[in-house]
Amino acid sequence: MREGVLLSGVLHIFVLLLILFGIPWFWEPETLRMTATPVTVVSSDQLTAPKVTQEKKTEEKKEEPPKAEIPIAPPAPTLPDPVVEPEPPTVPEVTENQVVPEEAPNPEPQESANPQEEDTPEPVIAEQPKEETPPEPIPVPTEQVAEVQDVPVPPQKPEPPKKKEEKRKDETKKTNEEDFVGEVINKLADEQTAAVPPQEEVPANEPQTEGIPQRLPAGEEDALRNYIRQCWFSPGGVAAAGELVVTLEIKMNPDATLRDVEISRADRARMGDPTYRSFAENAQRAVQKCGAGGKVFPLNLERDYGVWSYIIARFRESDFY
Amino acid sequence: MHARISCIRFALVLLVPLLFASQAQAVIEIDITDPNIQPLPIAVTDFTGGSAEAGDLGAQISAVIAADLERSGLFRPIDKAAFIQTAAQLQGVPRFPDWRLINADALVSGAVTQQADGRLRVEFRLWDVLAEQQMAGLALTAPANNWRRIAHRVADAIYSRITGEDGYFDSRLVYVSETGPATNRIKRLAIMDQDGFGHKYLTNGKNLVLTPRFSPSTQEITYLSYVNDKPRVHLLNLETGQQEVLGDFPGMTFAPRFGPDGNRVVMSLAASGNTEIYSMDLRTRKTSRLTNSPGIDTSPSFSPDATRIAFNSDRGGSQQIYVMNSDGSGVTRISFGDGRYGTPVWSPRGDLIAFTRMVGGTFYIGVMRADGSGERMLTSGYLVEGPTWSPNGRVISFFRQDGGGSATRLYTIDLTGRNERLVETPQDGSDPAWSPLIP
Repeated sequence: MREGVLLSGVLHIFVLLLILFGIPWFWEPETLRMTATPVTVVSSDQLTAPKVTQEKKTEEKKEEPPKAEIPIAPPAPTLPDPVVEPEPPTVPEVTENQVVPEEAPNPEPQESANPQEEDTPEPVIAEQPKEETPPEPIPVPTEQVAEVQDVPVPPQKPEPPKKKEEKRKDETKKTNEEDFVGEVINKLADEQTAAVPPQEEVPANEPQTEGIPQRLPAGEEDALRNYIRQCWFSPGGVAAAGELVVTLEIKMNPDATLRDVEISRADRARMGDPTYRSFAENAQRAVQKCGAGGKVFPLNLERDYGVWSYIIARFRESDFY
Repeated sequence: MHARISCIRFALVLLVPLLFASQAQAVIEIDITDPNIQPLPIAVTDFTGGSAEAGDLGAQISAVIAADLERSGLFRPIDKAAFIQTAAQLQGVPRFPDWRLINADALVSGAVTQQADGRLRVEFRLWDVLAEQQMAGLALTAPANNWRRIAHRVADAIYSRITGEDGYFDSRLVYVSETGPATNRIKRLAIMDQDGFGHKYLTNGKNLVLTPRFSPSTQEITYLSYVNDKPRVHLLNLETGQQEVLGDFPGMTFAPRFGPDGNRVVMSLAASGNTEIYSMDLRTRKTSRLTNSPGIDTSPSFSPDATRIAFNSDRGGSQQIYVMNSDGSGVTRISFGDGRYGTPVWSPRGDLIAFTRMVGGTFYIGVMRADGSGERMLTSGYLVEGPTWSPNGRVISFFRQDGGGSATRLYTIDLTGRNERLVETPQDGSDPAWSPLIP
């Protein structure tokens, strides 16, 4: 009896520690199935079906597990700037009045500065001491600048689906020596509820906005970074370059398409500064452009959706030129 | 039996936590730096009008807006032939997918109305095509013959909303128009809109004029003119045509430049073989000497906050750029490169100083920070000189000569060194000076 109590106590403590610290050992099988991804730029087309070898590693399970579930990648080598080519327009539905868009050439100024059309002014000889012709007064028009009163309200975006609340059923199994399993389950559920603040359970197809901050493997991170960066344009020459950093919260759909992108709450407080607002909107526009029309982000769909459904992206413009 | 139950308990205790293990979630973090420096694609539709005349005017206004934005180098107007939705269909909310289809990031729509008093009312809206929302909307009214200024103001509003910086399209350039052979060069003051329209001569060429400079706050120009072969700094009011000489100094005054508030002028005065920098209060006409060195101190330029002055001096043995307090104290050298530095001009943004540099027979236009760091050459040539900043401190105008005896032309260039463009003038041009935004 005494021996059983002692063993039970040790095992309970062990289980509690595992639950509190995320049981990293149990992610090992999934991590072990991944192969080392090459540190090269991979196009989004190639990554729609990422290569994941299904090697049996039963023998390797006996070896020491890796120290991290997703290893922290070494600094990626400097990659050449991706060639930004204008995207050909996708083939839209044919409508009657549709005009096939052509590649927009650089328009020449329709009104060229052609002062040659003006008559050469005759020099007027003025008298001393004013020896120069008084210039014609430059008219200064008075203007009224007023905000448009009838700004139309843009169509409301569809509300995101409400999170369903699932109530856990209370388990009220009787416990006795033969029902020890039920007693353990009850105790684990109670202890977990006590350890973790009560949360609404998020359905499996909703972005998981809370979790442990992690980084993707080096190759995947480079692919995602380059994919977004190719959509990120800036005029350059910003006076505050080097000080501009904006954090975007990117929510992904299970099929790796973009669901939503928002400027983080902390950075929204800075949107009153026109320079910062322009920078932040530019970054947000980059993600929106990369996700427009249902484009798929280069994410490993083999990985659990809960791992990559929520991405924190920090944009920084470090170079003035 | 007892041992078997214990083993079952042990196994279950190990396996049950697996049920809860899947609750651990992850948030991916990623850092992205250094965007692509490219112009933003924007669709500028023809502004609609209630009448044929208003419609024509709307088309002209949108053309000026598109030209302004394209000339800045920060925008790429999309060809109107690619538009799917017509201007008339944009009275309500645009069909944003149609504009995304042609890769427009922003969209401009507008309408022109002729009021009963003959004035024009121009409304425009700026749309974010990707976010599908309106970014800006304004209405402006003005006499009908000032429709170009309305167009420039609209372009300024679009530029400002998207870039976060002030615009510069509703401004002018004054410069020295040059004609004739080198031995008998006629130089006249001329003024035009920053896009080259509305060109006018301010002087008749009888007297040599040099170094015109705009007041940053009023419609006044200061310039050097040789009247009766005597060089003097003159002040010209563009609105009234009134001219005056800024004092009668015992010597030669030149290189005048306004202070930021327009109430002061700094200039060089050469007397008794020495050239120093003086400041004059235009309201009291009181002058004060700012420099005191045996070298040649000239080309002063105020910082936009009026606390400091940049100038060039050869007091150190070679012509270099110095910065001092507005009272003449705290002189500090900030240029240390090879060759000679001249014509420093402080940016209206306050972050950079443009200058001319001569090294090995080649001229350069460059910029550096006020402490001398970050020196960067923007352009070079046989002769490039006389930088002047746009009102928003983003664009520099200068003049260029490609070889001895060749034409002298005005150019503009972005402060990043991109987008160098020719400014068309009737004759040769030099010494440009950029006005502030027209009030």
